Amino acid sequence: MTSKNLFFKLMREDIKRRLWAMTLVLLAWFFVFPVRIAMIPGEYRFDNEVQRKVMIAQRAEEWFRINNGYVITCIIIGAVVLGLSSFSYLHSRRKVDFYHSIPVRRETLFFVNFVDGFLLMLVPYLLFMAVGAVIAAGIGASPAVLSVNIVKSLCFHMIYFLLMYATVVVAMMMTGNLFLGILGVLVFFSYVPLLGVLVELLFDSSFVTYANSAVFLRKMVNISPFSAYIQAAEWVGEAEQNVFMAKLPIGQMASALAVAAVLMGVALWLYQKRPSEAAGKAMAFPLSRTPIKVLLVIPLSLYSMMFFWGIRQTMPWALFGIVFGSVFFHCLIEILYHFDFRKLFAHPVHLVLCFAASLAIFLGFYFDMFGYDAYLPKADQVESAYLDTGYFENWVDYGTYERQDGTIQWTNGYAENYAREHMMLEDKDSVLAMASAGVSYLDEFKKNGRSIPQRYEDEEMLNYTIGYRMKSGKIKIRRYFVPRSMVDTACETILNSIEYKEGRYPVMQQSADEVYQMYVRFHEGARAGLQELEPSQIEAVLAAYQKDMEALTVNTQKEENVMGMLLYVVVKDMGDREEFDSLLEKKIEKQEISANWRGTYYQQQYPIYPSFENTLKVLRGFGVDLEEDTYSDYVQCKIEIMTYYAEGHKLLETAVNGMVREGVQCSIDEDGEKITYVYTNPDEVAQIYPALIPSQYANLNVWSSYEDYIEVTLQKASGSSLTRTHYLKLNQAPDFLLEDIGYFSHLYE
Amino acid sequence: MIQAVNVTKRFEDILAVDHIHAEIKEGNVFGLIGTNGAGKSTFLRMVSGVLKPDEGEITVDGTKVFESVTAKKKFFYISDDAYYFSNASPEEMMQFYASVYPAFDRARFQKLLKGFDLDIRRKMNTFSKGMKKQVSILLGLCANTEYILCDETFDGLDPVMRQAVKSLFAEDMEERNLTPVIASHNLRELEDICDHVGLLHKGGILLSKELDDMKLNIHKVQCVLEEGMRAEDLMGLDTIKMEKRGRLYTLTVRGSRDEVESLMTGYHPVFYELIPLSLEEIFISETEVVGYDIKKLIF
Repeated sequence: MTSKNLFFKLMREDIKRRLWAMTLVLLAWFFVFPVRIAMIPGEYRFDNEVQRKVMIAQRAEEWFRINNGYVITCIIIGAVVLGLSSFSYLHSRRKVDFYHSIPVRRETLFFVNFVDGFLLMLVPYLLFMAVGAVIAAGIGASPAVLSVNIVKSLCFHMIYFLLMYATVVVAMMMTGNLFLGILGVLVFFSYVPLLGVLVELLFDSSFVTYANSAVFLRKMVNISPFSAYIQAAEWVGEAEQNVFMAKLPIGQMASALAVAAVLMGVALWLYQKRPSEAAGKAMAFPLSRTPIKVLLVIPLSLYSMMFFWGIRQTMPWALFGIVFGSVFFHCLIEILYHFDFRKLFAHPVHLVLCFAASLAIFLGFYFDMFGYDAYLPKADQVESAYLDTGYFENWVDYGTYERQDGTIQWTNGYAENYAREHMMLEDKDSVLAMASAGVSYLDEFKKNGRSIPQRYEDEEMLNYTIGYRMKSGKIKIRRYFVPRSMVDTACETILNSIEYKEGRYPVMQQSADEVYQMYVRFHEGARAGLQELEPSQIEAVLAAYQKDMEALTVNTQKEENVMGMLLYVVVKDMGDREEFDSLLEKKIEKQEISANWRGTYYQQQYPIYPSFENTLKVLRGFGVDLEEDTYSDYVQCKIEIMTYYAEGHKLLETAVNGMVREGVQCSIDEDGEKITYVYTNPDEVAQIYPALIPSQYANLNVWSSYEDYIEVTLQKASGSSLTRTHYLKLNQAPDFLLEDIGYFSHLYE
Repeated sequence: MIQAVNVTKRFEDILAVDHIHAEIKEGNVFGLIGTNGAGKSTFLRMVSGVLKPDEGEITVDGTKVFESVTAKKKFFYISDDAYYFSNASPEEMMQFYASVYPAFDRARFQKLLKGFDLDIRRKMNTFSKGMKKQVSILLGLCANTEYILCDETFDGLDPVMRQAVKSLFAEDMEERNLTPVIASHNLRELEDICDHVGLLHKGGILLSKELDDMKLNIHKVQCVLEEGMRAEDLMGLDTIKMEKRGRLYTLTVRGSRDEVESLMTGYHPVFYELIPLSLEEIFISETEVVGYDIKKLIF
């Protein structure tokens, strides 16, 4: 008999032995595909039959996408069950005697079982996916779309199945008992990501300047077949949500396949080395016991420490957590290794060493023996830097649309990521001044028992992140939390710089050929609504705005109020505008993109200040006059003060129902929750107007302080009112208003 | 020939097999005797290639056994606690073994199974322990290997079945030079089948001899001596053991039959008779000489 014949005969015999596994897999895929697809028509009951058929077909097509939770669940469970069952015979002495005494090499046995496990997943999956596809086509799904989705899904899921399956097989090779084998699978699937979480927790709880960028977790999450699979599926799923035909993460899949091949090789090697007498024991390789134990006990005792620290935040409880964790987990593992409770205190030296290592790690973090928080680079070590406050411009949107291969893809963006890529601050003195202030404040903060020192208690605090691009190529990031007064000067200097703006406002890097449509929003007091600009006008407006933005300073923002907004949507690689219009229309008809694009859709918004002379001039040239003053129409101003705010409640003390003076009526509602002042003198109304900010503009300029518990409504002579909310800037309000409402700033000190 | 040279096996702190040297010649029945924990199963598992020796090597016809398909094709191993596929029938087990042993004789297996009154399609898990052992033995015989390794295989068999199996072994030994290696803790079982017996104790071989050699050179003499004579007066005899009941002496002596008869005749006893020794009695005698109380070792 040739070895090939023997191989296939053994495969057949093995599959006969695993009919139960095959049945489970067949049932799972049967319900996931044919049954589920057949249920889809019943989910849609519309009067409009055409729409119903479109929805049914779309739903059926979507079911074959990669990010299908049911498929992912079946793949994960299948990998574990089939991996465990493929080599469970190694955990039974009787079975090991049986298989290892017959004239078949271990390599042959290995590949027979390994390949069988793979095929037991692949064949039913393929079969029932095909049957499901036939049903889906029958209810209107596009065969072309189905074909593409099926091929992509099959490749994606089977590669990650192989990765997880090979990992489970390695776990079975290293253990001699099914229970330990399952624990081994859990360890392999979760160890590195959980280690990443632990490192994040240690950094986050110990180092005040840790920027919480989850850098460790991001790097370590892929070193687990389970989380790599979930993450890859989520990535594809996000892309699929925005773009119907998402691209496969080919690089990740290729890596997964390569790692799976390596793991298979490792599993084979382990099988060749594995002693048959390991059957029934906890660990197949005695030499692996101690390293595995140490690698488990140390992180687990640190988790125990984090648990007790999380409850009490005191050193004694943290130490208790380490002691308890070390002893408990060490003893538990010894019991598992020996299957004997009496062995719980075996290897006391290992216990002591694990405890000492955990304690050393904890103390190293707690006392910042690494000097993490005190880190300050030298100016000559830094190439450039970036600053992210998340405060001054939290209205900026960093997401982007991109035209790719007949699709329109959306990618989320984040401020810090954008700053990291685009902000190249060269004013190292200001950057290091901010960092130095952060470090010195932190020192005081820690000495004060990690509480804000009393002299800063009433101060506004500023939270900011500095990223240093070192000349060595590394990027070092620190986060600081300081009283604003300590860094105002340096901060303003940086905010005024062109490098800051280029890394903070995407508008500075955008070009007109990326702008799909642009609107100007008027100050609500002057004219309501939006004015759309012609495509031919966009370039000039954008160029003027970039120039004005470059010149904008913090002082200007402190003095001026936003008077309008520039609203637009950017599409990278948009190409010819007419072609894009046509593509957009098709996408909207297929409901692949929101119909809002047909209306006044925008995604980017930028404030226009009175000092933006270039922008205002260009807009005027296009017939858009933001400075047109029509506030003379307004004859009545209603000011409502919400008293459930502390400051509003204080104003209740001086408010009196009735006429305050001629032309000013005051009323307090029954519950005392709102005081209303109504001004009917048009001259006074005109004086109040400059102190108002439309609520939509309020957050565009954090330098102007306004009272958000005071809402203002303006009314025209004809009786119609502008009901959109305004906020009141008390520092620009006329004196008569302040006197009427009883506001004296010194009373609120 | 199966040859074990300096074979040692440890399981953590336990020395299961301690530097064993053994030769199992073709065409002979090799009996491996020892108490529980003596190392019989461990030795057989090493011979069958299941376990890898920590020291030394085991070869079959010059080929190392461990991970050698060539060597493993030459023997069939019947474990003391054999494994059968769950819900398998003898027919399914036959099909499996036939796929790995090219010379497996399906027709003979079916015939023998019928002869033993075992249903080929009945689930093995409904068989008694003895019936399962019968199936194992028949599978082993029908695999047509050169060696068959049996670990306490006869233990579960009734005397009739034991005899039937012994006949089959004898038949195969004659027809195709089958070499059975049988491990057991029961000397009586091995008595009428073994040609060579090895005694294992605490991982080492205490004794390894051809049974005929042992029987040829040790005899039991029952005699009644003349008045005034004692057993000590029988100077020429190499007496290993002496028992006396009244005037009846039972002596275990070394030497050939002719020598012993000649010497006894010379002493003119009232009566003497040479009685054959059982394997057990031979073992007792042999091991007592080297200082072991055999009863403690094997009973």
